[in-house]
Amino acid sequence: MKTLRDVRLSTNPDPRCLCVLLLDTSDSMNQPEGDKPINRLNEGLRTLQMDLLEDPLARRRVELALVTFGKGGVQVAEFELGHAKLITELGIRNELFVEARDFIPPTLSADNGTPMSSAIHKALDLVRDRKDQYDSEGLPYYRPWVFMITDGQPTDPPNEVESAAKRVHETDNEEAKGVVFYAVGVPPQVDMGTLARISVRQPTMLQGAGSFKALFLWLSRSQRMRVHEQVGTQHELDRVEIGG
Amino acid sequence: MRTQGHGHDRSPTGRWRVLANSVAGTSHKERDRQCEDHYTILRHPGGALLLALADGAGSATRAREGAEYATRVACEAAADMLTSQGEPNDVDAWRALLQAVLQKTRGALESLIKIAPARGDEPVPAENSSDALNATDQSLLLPPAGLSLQEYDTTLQCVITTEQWLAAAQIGDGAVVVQHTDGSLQAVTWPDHGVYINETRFITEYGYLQWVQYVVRKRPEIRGIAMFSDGLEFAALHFKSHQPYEPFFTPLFAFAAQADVSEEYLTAKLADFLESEDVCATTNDDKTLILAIHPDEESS
Repeated sequence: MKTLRDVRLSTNPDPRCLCVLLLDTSDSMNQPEGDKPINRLNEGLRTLQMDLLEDPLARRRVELALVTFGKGGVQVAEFELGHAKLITELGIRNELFVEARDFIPPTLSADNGTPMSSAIHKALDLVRDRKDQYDSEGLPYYRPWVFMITDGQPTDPPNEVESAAKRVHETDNEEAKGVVFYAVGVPPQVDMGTLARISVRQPTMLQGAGSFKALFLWLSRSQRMRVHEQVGTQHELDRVEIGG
Repeated sequence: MRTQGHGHDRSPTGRWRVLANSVAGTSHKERDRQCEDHYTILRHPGGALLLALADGAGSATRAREGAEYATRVACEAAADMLTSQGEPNDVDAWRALLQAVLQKTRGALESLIKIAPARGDEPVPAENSSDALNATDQSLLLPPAGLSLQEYDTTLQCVITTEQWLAAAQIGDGAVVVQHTDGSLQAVTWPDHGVYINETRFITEYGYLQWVQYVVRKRPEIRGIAMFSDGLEFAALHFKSHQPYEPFFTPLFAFAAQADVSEEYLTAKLADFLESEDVCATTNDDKTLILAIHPDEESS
């Protein structure tokens, strides 16, 4: 009798689920001294890594990129064997993206002002160029995310802030559907008004530094759901859900 | 004789053997959600076999109802047309029948949102409909304010086979693969994903008719049909070459064609297969597979 044991499953490249982490590493992330947000942020990155690793499908399909603004100006992580090295890079290479299973969270440190607008442009450039790569290689992919966390206000000139906001609006809307852009504010100094102008989706305020972990857990679970889910499930970043 | 949902067809008089099964995705079980795939199998008294498969969208609140209703209406509409008009005998006539089936189905889904009370809003006809629209083509009008047709978002795949013809129409993802009498395989429809892998087209969206894939083939050269939802795409298709994966389908059809084994047994084995670790490793989505084998090809 013939059985289904003879059935072989096809192999197809994993669809890519890109999430660009856009992180504030300005000097204010060192305050308060006793409980630095930058330390909490680093813990959050570890939470993200550990949670993604638990999911066999997510760790293959989710890929991360890292853009920081603050220390060193605007920097992008270049990954080698999973380890991140922050550089002021030029050009798009594969090393700027790391699969979740290879990701080794860097230890970020903070300094300087907040060139948020330039960093937003950089993150959107990464998304655009990576999508071009996917298309030229015939790789299926999910709608990329840009996930921004900031505790202050941008120190770029106002017209640059406007240009960053415009670009986000041009790509994150029902027609273009180019990207999903989430903005999260870290109290107490964050300017939520500016975030609301930049982001199409309502920005979220962290309920205190303790909720970095919950935030990154939410992010990980969202990516995990995306790679598993049926078509079209929505995600809402709910302030209540991630409250500290 | 008709069966729907997750039971297989038990008609003793039908000529085609049909095995079908649906399993809920493991992520759905974890979240205590029901399977949102739905299928209907209907054997027309004139001998035609009618199959319909629909996959409700995860974002839609009434996805399951949408999928269920769509497959049921599609099969009934096709059956009614075959009864009243007889079997089409050329490609154009089959296409017209398929389109009429889809329009009937779409109309039926729209009527659901008119029956269900809107949140205090009265239904409003779309004042700004294009002049080019045929006044009788109600299905292109925007739904009334209040309850949205999106809540019933679903894909739809329909297959009608007679002795002489195979006709199929698909809006959305999943695929229909046929096996020819010489054993060769062909995907007669292909998953419609747009830009992003987790997006697709729905019969409930505006301008749905532009997204239909139509197939009309001569049936005698076909001995087997496989129809499946997007949960099986990764396992069954080879994307780069745009082909069905032969080592998946050939043993599957051979398995289904065993005339000396009961359909109940084969269907149960099919469920085990759909729930197997290897298949689930590619996705936690709902998986539905319908296999139809022409009796001339059954072997023992």
